[in-house]
Amino acid sequence: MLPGQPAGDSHAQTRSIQEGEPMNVDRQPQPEHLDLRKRRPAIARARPLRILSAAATVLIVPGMAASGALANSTTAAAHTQPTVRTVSGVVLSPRGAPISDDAVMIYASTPPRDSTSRNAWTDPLLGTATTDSAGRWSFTIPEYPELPHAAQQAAQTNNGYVTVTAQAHATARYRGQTYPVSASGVASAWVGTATAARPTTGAMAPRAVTMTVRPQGRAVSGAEVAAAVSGGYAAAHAPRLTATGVMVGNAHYIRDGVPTNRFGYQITSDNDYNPNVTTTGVDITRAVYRAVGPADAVNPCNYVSSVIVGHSWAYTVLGEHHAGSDSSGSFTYTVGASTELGTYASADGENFSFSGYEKFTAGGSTSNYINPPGRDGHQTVESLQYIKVRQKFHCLRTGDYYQYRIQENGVFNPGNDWVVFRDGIDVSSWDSRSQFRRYLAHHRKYVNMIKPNAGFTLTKNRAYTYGAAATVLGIGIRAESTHSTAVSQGYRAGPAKIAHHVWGSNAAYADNPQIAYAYSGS
Amino acid sequence: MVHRRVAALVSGLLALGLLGPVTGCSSSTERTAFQDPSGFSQWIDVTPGSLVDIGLPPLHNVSGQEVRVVDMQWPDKPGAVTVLRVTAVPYAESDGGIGLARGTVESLFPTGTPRPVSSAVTKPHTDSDWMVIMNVRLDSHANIGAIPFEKARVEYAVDGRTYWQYLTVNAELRVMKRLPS
Repeated sequence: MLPGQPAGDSHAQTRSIQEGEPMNVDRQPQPEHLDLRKRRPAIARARPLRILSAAATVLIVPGMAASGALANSTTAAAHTQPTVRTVSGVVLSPRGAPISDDAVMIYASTPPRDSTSRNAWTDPLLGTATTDSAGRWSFTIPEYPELPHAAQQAAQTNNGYVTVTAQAHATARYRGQTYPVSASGVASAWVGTATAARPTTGAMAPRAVTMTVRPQGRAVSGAEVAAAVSGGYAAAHAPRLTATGVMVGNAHYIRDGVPTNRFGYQITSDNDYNPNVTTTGVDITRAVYRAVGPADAVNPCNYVSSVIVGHSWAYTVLGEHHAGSDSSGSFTYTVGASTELGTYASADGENFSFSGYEKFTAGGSTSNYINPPGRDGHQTVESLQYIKVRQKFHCLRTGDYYQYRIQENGVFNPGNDWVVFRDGIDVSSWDSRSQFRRYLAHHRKYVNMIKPNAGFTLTKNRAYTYGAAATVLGIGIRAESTHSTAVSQGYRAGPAKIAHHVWGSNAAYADNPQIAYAYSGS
Repeated sequence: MVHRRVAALVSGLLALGLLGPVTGCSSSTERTAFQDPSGFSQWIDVTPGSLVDIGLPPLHNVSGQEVRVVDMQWPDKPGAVTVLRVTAVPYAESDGGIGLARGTVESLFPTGTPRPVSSAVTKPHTDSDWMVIMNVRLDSHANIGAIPFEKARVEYAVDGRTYWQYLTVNAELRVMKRLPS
């Protein structure tokens, strides 16, 4: 965006908006199933977009190297890792039909690190993409030198990763009325820093996000601030610290996560919450959905600003170690280690659904848990802060609407002798003889024999996905670490036992299991 | 002068690949049949003179043809290591696979019977039911220190033709005077 230009105008830079077009213009919408036959090829396609840096406008086509304005070093990085900076997703109707030809706005997420800040800020627009006939879109984030200053700062504080929010708007036609609807998704991609054109550890391509259009939420009432969801399933099952400083709770809850209702919203005090009901009480699940495109700019909506309306912190599970008797297990999490943390979106500030993963990377903290030899299994947790963000949008015909997001906001150390990293819940029950026998019976190839004074380390692939690695603001947060040279699980067999047995949760240890368990006999 | 002509002839024939078998180069072709694993490292403490079993990672046949393992080699094997034999053991006769272990196959799997490595036949697009194990002996005068074994060269046969590929082992034999107790 151009310096000094209001963020709300950024949408208008990328498309022709027909101001004054009536919201209830009686167009004949295409039946939803006809959208599947639209004239676009199935290949993901994005229109040329404008990247407006502080000094110049650079035309970039996603998937291609940027223009000659880029430095040689970053251009080389683009050639060697073409997919690392590409975020993608799909825009769907509530019944799962693709919404084609829809514009998807890509913003960099740049909340202030001070979680108590009440000052509004505006996330910078990075560009747009357009959905294809299958509703799919993709967008290659510009390299670090081409990013707006706020996005550069965000990448700089997160070891080169920048988080983006994708926002799409559409219309729903139902019983003669047209309703504005919107969808959002979150993804993180490695873009580099001022000094690093390549990631220090293996950066993986971001996962595609699924964006389902829902009716837009009410104008802000302030109720959402106080109504931190506290009576739901997550709050009732969250692990807790005892007075002696031991983490206790249900490990199955952490792994399985919070159950959701039929619409994918976490079970809270309102299990019957239907996100497809408009603010006027109309269920538009069966409406005909169509894109808001340049040719029919019905009630286009622009993002305006964001503000933090709630914050909390929680110990968040990063991984775990396992050791049988006469052995040591380790979980190492060093600088550059990364974990994907779920973000959650809401139209009303109370009911939240999964919205995509945000990449968190360890900055200055290090941790290496090697338990003394002896049967032991514990999760490793890190103290992270989470914020509840309210985003304001303005629509030409219907005015303001708001949406909410719960997301992590960096390491949090509350002081008073607390530690950033610590042991989490005891998970040694997964290392029992009966578990070993079960794997031997059903997954013999996952099992390995380890002789005394031998060991291994896992350094690749995603680890276990914890359904509720943290519980904050009444919401269970998913998390998944990526094994690498910076974050790994290790095992060392002691000298006393004749043989140790280790088995991966879903593969042998040489096949990148999510977790390796161990049993060394009695 | 004659010397030069002979040298030129030999180098020409080498360039054409005609002298490969004579000079000890393998006549098989490099081709991928098994998925190459990565993302792990493994190690074992050993003493000079030890017998060590080194297992190939689990074999996943990614080809559309049946594959029979013919041999497993340690391409950059140091002189202090002697390969004694390469065998195959079915998972069904073991309590799981092995990566590195001191001893012999017989001592590791008392209930199983090691077979010739050519027994390890894997059907198309399946995980092998066999583990392939190389048994080596460390020289009794082996130097103290680390011996890396990064990649194994695996020879295999498909429809009567022999091919080969590298498979990651990522192992380290840590040679020490005596084992920690």
